[in-house]
Amino acid sequence: MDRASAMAGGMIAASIPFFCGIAAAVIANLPVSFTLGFLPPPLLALMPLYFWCLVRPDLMPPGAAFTIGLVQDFLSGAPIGVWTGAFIAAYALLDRRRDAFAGLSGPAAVLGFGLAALVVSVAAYFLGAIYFWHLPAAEPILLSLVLSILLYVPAAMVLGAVHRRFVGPLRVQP
Amino acid sequence: MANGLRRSTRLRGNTQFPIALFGALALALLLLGKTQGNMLDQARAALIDWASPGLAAIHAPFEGFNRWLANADDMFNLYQENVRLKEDNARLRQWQGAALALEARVGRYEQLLNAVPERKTESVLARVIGRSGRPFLETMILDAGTANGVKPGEAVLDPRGLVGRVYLAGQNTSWVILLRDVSSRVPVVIQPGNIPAMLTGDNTVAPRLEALPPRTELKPGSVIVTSGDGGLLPAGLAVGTVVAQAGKYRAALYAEAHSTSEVEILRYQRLPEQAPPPSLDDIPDPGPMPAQVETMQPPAQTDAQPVPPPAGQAAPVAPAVPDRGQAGAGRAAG
Repeated sequence: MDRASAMAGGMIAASIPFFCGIAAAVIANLPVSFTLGFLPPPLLALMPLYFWCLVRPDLMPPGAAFTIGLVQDFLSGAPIGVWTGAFIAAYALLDRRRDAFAGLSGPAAVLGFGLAALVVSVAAYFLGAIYFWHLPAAEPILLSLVLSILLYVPAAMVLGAVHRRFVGPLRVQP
Repeated sequence: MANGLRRSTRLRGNTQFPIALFGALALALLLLGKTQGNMLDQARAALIDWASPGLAAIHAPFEGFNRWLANADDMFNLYQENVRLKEDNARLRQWQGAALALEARVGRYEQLLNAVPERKTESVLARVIGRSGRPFLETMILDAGTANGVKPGEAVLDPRGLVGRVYLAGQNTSWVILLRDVSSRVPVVIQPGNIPAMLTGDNTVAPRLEALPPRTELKPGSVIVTSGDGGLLPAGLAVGTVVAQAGKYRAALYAEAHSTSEVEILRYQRLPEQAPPPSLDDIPDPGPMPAQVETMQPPAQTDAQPVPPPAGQAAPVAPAVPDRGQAGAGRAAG
């Protein structure tokens, strides 16, 4: 019984990062705006992806990044594949330079997220340009990028709390 | 903070292939969306249909807040606004009188010419239950769909002017592509001068005016209306005014898509161009019969003068034309 409950807890713990990403994509793409539509929504879905890709990469595999990107595409109304490809590009960067990113702390950690968000934004911009076959205005993506960097600090605190409260205690020790 | 909690490089070697695979899959999806976008759009529409009751409930408080925010600065200049509105009202009353007189005159002319009356365009009133300004989609979601007769392509207007077009219609909801969206293209004409142009969205507040005739110089403040070219939208819908920005012409839109809460969907459907039914006059003349050729030789010059028409009757200047009501039906419907 203990073993079964431990396994169940482990499965829940393993799925929390993924579902945090999905929830962030849903929240970011609710068709409501606090700013009369003048400010685009931030890249909320990237935050759990970035966080757990560095903290527990085994809980945020490439398939999870792909699915979160797909949900972001589907809900945001963007061409399917734009945010998916952009998230995979950021994931590839984080995967190759995990030690460098994970070693950052304080303001440098925010800059690290900023770099990942920049990769996502640039990739999405060019994938969108390929899809529409002309360069769209860069202003909304830049605004979204700045907003995402500004919101990363409080979001990382929430994600850290979730990790300490739920993911850490529930996971099964190998 | 996220970083420094734990480092794991355990899976690094194993992730290269999945990353490449998922990257390729994302590109394949992008291409699939380009070719089979309708299928994905239908899935989106179905999802929004399913979520529409919750969406309307969530949207209500945001809508109130946004309306308050949009009008917040007006609270500080109510007096000036009131004076301006009174002046506008007086001026518009004068224009209303002129418009009514012109409408009556046009009606009389149409009656005299036996013109085919314009088709009445039906409309559906819909509430905005969602809106979003995203890098690749400037949209609003309405609570009317195919169940209300809404079809993709129909024009959406707020009380001020054209907002955009329906591009996706679910059963109870529809998505509107706003004029400023990156994929919006609307043929327009600029008045005065009937200058054709293409209103092209680029995700900025003021869409661009493109495809202008060469060496065209527009006057800022000129009025932009839909041209009706292509038959997707009716002609003459108010769009905005011309503004010049950095050497390019853009449109300051009349519609306030970010704050409007109710819109009108025009159920305009252009009838296909149809040729009028043939009449006897349309049958080509086979030419004079051999027996008639001789009789059609120029007559010998005589002193006979052409007979003038009776008083009060115009001389015929053209061969008989088919019935105007039938002949003009195809054009008028277009």
